[in-house]
Parts: sequence; C-alpha cells; structure tokens
Amino acid sequence: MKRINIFMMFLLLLIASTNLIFAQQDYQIVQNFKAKQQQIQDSIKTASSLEQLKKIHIQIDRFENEFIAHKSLLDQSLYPDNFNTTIEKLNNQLNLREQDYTQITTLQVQVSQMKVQIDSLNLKSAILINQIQQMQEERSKDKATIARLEKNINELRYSLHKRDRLVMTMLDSLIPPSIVEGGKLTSTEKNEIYSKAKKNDIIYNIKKSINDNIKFLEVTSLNLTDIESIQKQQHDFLKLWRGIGPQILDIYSAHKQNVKNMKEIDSAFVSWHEAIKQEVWNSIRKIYSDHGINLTGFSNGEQFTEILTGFISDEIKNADADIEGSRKVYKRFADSVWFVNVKPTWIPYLINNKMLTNTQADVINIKVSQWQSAVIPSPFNWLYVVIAILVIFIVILLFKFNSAKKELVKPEENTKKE
Amino acid sequence: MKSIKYLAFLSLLLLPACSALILKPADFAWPVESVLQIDSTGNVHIQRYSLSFNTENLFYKETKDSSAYKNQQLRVIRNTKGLYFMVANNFKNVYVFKVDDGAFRLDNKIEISDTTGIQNPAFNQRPPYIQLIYEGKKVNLTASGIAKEEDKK
Repeated sequence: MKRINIFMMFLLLLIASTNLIFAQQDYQIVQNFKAKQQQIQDSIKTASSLEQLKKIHIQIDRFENEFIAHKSLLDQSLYPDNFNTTIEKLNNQLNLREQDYTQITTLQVQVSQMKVQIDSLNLKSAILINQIQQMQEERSKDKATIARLEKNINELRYSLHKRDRLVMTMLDSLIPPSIVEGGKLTSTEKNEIYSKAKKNDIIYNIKKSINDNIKFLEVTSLNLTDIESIQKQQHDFLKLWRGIGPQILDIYSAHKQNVKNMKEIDSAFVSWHEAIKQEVWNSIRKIYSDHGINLTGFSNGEQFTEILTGFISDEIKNADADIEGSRKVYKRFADSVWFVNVKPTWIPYLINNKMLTNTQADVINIKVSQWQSAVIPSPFNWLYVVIAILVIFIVILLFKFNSAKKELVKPEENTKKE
Repeated sequence: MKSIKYLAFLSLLLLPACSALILKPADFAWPVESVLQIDSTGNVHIQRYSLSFNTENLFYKETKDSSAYKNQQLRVIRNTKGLYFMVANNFKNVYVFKVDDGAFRLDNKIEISDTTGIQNPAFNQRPPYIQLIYEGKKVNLTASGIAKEEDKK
C-alpha cells in the first residue's frame, strides 16, 4: 500500500512538472532567447583575450541547443531574422573578433622584436651623427678623413632609413587594418593599444626618427637623388601618421600629457618638411662653394633669384675693370655649375616642387646670358662673310649677263635698217 | 409570367458580379503575443505591426476606474481569423476585439474568473485557439469563449 502511495505521488509530481513545461509562455521564450543573444554579443565585444573568445564558441553551441526545440516559434517571432540567421550572426561576429585578436597577437610579437632593433639603431645613429659633426668641424680634411666622413654619412643614411621603416611598421602594426578602415575600437582594445604603444615608446620613437632626420639634413649636404629619397620617406611617414594618428590621438586622449606629445609630432613633421626644403637650397649653395663661389645663404625662390642675379650684376660691373678675372669666375659659375648641374638638375626639381617659378628661372637665365655677352666676345661669324661674297658674286654675274645681252641685240638692229 | 422568368434569369447572371471580392485562405495569426507598456495617456504602440490604439476605455470597462491603465502592461495577440485578444494583470476577463472603421469594436468578453482578477496572464498562439496561461493554469480560447475539448474536433 505504501509503495502504491509513493508511486502515485511520483506520478502526480511528473504530471505537474510536465504541465509546467507545457505552460511556458511563448513570449517569455522569445524574450529569453533575445536576452541570451544580447548577453553573448556583449561577451564577444568585451572579451579581452583570444582564450575568452574561444569559450564563447561553447556558449553559442549551448545557446543553440537550448533553443532548438523552439526553432519554429523563434523563426516566426524573430522578424526580420530567424533562429538560424541569429546563430549565424553570432558566429560571424565571434569569428571577426577572433581574426582581430589573432592579428593583434601576431603584431604584438612583431612589435616587440622591432623595438630591440629600433633601440640599437637609435644608438648607432646618435654615435654617427656625433662623429659626422666632429669631422665636419675639423678644419683640415685629408683624404682619409673625407673618405671616413663619406662612409659614416652613408652608414648613417642607411641606419636612419632602416630605423624609419621599422618605426613606420611598428606604428602601422599598432592598430588592426579593419579599424584603420573605419571600424571602432572597444575600450579594452584601446587600453591594450595604449599600453603596447607606451611599452614600445612609439611616440618617443616617432619623434626621435623625425628629429634625427632633421639633424642628418643639418650635418650633411646631399645630392638630388638623396634628397628625393628622403622626401619620399617623409611623405610616406606623414601619410601613415595622418591615417593612424587620429586613432592614436583618440586612444591617448585620456592621458593629457600624451596629447601634448602627439601635437609635437605634428609640428615635427612640419619642421622635417621645412628642413628638406632648406637642405635643397643648402646643397645648391654648397655646389657653388665647392667651385669657389661663395653665395649668401638663401631659403626660398625669391632669395635665390635675387642673390644669383645680384652676384652676376656685380661680376658684369667687375668685367669693366678686370675682364679676365670676371671671365674666370663666369667659367666656374656658368660652365662648371650652372649649365652642367644647377640648370639641368636642380632647376626642374625646384620648379616641380613649387620652390621656384618659371619666371624666376628665366630671369636668372637672361642674367647669365648678359654676363656671357659681357665677358666673352661673340666669335667672328664666317657665315656672314660667305653670304656677303656670294651676294657680290651673284650681282657681278647679273651685271655681266646684262651687258653681254645688250651687245648681241645691237647688230640685229643694224641689219633691219639695211 | 414570361417577363418574371426573364428577370429571374437576368438576376442570376448579375448577382455574382455584385458580390464582394474575397481572398482566402488568409491567416492573421501573430506568432507570439505582444506585451505593451501603456503610456501616460493610455496609448500603446506595437512597432512590429505598426499598430497603435488607446486602452483607457478597456481598463475602465474592466475596473470602473478611469486611471487604472497607469503603469500597466497590456498583452495582445491576434488569432488566425484576425480577432484581437487582450488581457492585463488582475483582469477577470479576456476581451476579444475586431477592427471596425479605425477602431477596435468589442466582439466578446470571455469571463475567466468571477471572483478575483487573474495573475500573470499570458497568451500563446495555438491554432485554432489562443491559449491563455495564468497562475499555472492554461485554457484554450476561441472568439466565442473558453473552448471545450470537442470544439477542436
């Protein structure tokens, strides 16, 4: 009897629980589904490591299994989505986030390797800049010193170039491409990037890179190819900074002292650009000084035109007193530098980079021609002599031909009269 | 007599042309009930179906209190035939409405409890019925009232 009672009680309990399951509200099921979906989405967004994201895969599987029994109800209720598309969306979101994290992890390893290289290149560049400065200051430069100087300059140029590339790669690696293309960073990602940037002294290294390049331009005189290569480097660096800078600024905005550093980078880029321009003018001046022509310094097209034409005017005046001396200067100025180097190489560069106008270039050209006329008498032109002889010869021929014709006509006239 | 026959024949021909156009079968059922928060003026809005209406008279009819709608939730579901079933917490009845010229017109009032208002009511779509769940109980409803088992048959 007791057994039957226990059995009856168990049966009643079973019926009650079954009833409870069947008494579920459809609305509540849909709401639970939506709430859990939101919860998983939030977990995906706030996950701070790849491991956490991997755990979410299990959560999605559980979620799918939990609600698969209500698929038909959810298909009708989740308009415009349905059960399958909701699960698919969650998986897609998770996969995208995992890709971001994989990229970030790979980049983190690359960045820490680069940091070591950059540090060593920073040190090397500092030593080389120092050595070059000392050598430049030495008054007497023997052949060996000049060779050493050139070797050091080449080495420094290579080191700076390599270091700049590394800093650029490091900067590029900080932020995943999807974010650069317009995606948004979560606060966790922002913190991670900030600590990574801080750890690798990214802002310091950008500033150091720019300042070393400016120093390099100050201590060396470069040819046009070198300048163009540095200009390209500066352009690439600036382009990268303009693309990533705003994101970094956003991340750094929470730390006021760093915003100041960021603004310093912007002005450093401007200084670098100006230093390249000045280097162009200095290099042209250096070419003249290497040929014994010491021109006053110039830093823009107007000054350049003024100083060159002023120098030529003075030399034209000098030619009256000492034509031979002025001719020698002309040969160094024009034949060795202007026509050989400055006019064919530097002037097109200056015009292309809007550092000199065509009119200013024409003014200098005219002035050089005037100087040429003053110091070098125009060579005797034999062509005029030949033309004059030919003309005289033709005139004589015509004259003779006419007189012969007259003599032939006269006897005929006499015959007619007879 | 001949003319009457002729008239009857003509009306047989014309009658189908005058009858209303009917599209069927049609299913108006909502898959799941909508739970609506009533605003301060007694209005509710169902975004999914772009439907809005005022609930003040419904609450007055149920409670005889013109401000009873305040801070209340209304549960609405539509059955396959297109009739709207409405209930709220503490209601004794389920109200069945049909659409009539820009308004809801009461079609039927189904008494669920004659003593006290029901707690935590909810609707499920269980064609051909609307299932009402409250206090762990469940009843199947049609537009005319609580369905008996043989109704389904």
